[in-house]
Amino acid sequence: MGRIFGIWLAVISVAWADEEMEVALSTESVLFPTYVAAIENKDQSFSSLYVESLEKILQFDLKYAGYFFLLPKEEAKEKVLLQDKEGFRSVLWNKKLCMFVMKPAIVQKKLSLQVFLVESKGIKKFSEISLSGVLSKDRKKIHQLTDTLIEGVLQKKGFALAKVLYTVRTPVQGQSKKWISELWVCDYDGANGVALTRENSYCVHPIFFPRKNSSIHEILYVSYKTGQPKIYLSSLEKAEATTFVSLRGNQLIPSLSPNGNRLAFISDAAGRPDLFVQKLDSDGKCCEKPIQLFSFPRATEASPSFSPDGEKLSFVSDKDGSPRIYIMKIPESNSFKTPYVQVVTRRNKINVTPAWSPDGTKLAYSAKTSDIYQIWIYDFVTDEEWQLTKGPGNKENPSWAPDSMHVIYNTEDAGSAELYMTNLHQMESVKIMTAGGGRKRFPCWEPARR
Amino acid sequence: MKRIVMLFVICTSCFFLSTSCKKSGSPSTWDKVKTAGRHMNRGIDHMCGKPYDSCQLASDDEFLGPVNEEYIPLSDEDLKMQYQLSDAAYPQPKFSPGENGSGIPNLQNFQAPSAQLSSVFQTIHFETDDHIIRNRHDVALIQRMANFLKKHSNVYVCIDGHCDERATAAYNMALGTRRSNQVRVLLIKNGVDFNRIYTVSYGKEKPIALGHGDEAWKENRRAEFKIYEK
Repeated sequence: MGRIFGIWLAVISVAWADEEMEVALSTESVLFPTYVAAIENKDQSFSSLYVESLEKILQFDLKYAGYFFLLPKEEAKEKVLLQDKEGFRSVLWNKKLCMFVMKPAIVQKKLSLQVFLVESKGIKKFSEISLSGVLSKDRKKIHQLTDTLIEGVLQKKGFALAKVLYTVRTPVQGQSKKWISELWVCDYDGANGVALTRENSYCVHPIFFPRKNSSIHEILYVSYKTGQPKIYLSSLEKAEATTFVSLRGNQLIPSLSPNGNRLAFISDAAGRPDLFVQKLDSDGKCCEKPIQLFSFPRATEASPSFSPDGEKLSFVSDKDGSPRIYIMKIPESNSFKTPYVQVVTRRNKINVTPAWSPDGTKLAYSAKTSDIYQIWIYDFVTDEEWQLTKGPGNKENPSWAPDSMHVIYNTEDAGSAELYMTNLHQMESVKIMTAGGGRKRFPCWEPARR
Repeated sequence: MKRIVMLFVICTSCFFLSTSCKKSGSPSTWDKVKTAGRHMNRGIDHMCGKPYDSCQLASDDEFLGPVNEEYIPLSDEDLKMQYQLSDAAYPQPKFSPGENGSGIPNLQNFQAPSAQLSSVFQTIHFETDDHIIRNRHDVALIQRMANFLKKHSNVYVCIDGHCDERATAAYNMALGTRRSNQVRVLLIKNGVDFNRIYTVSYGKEKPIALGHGDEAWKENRRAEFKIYEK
């Protein structure tokens, strides 16, 4: 009788829960209307083609910075801006329609940038940067200029210098059912893509492993090169890789705590895909034994992601039916009893690949929405879940930029897998044109250096 | 009076079930009902004083538990309390293939079963997002494999867990692990030495069928076997 009553209650609750729930979100634009003039090539020290390329990079940086709405180019405004300071005094700049006017110019192989603050009528000048004429080098300088500009004008941290790790999956030549997957790294906009591994094996889930006072950019990733997937340590500078965690069985989906003192991963060392955590010392080496942190009968655990303070973990488990995202506090004592976990995703049935934002206020994850995996955000402050991406194509593996506003993810469809970037202000996804012909997956944004 | 109450409960249940099915498609609703049902049952079990999900072992011998030394397991009591009999977890062999101490080369030396053995080591298939082996034919297959392995102590086996393309890559990696370990558990329960069985999860990374429909997905949700004869 008790069970029948239970089932009845369950059916009623599901029937009610099935009702569509609308959450009203603020639609007020947070983007500043901005006019960015063409780069004035004053002494023709570089070819117009090269200057055009620089301009495209600057426009891309500003357009997708998440703060500016770029106004279309107008001939009259371009003419007016050729008059230097006088150009900023023009009546063409209406503070209701334009907040900032940006005027870049190249003189004697140096790029300068002036920003006119329309409302206050102030002008900010950004120090000149020397250009080499080599686009792959100079684009980094443009990114640096964008970050400086954002900090100078808006007092916000930029992210344009951060790199992105990803994998490229390609079929083995002449074999239709064999693939390899190698690690690549690129700038945030997809440029300067370089292959990091040539293992001829299968590499997945790369993450950055930033270390204090180290100029080497170390990384961790999973490789199948000896058969079973294991976590390896390598760097952007060296091709060698060494086994990082000494533990039996499969090691999958590593996640590093932002303070670098713990590594979480999934392992079947005990016979189930359980959540493990490995303590790291101040040199970034494994210390003490790995700890089996969470295991649940008949369940699959996946995708750990640390909170910024490294004290909590979000992860996926299907322990209560479908895969949902849970949060647990990492126990301090050495009792290692199964900790209490709290579910955070209630809106959708299937929720996977959580990523905790660097500022700790949000969780980005992939949730099946009308049969398509879309990126969703759980806001810890408001306790609300909302959909970030729309449109066709499955989207997974979100990774946050250091500014906690931009998210990079990969699409995963029968025909292709590509990297896309979006941000919480614009909610417009832009494809990252990366090198490496194949399926691009598992993007990971370089975190801010500790 | 009791009968009237029962009739009311059943009718209301049927009504809500049918209306909710119309709204969002039956598989989704049925899954939600299952999930909610599990929560409800747990609550009722708690109220009735039953320890949730518990299954006491008759003796310590039934608990293989994690072999200690290289990692710190969850408290044994926690693991013993949870479905230990129906969902046993047997630790992986201490050394991975190819490691010093394993006595066998790395997994690249494991081969697909020869034509002679292919009738013993047949691929096992799974339901969507599931790791339980429900098919009697598959259970019988595993018994045959176990008998073979018990007779041939020089044979080591690696179970590759695979998934179809529908879930995300990361989740499928974990699910593939679940599937391969489930087959491993059944082999161990049938008397095979757990130090001779390895697992690898490939998630959805190595599909055998390249299509994008039910048939291809069914073929790709599988556990495959590779063997090494010492």
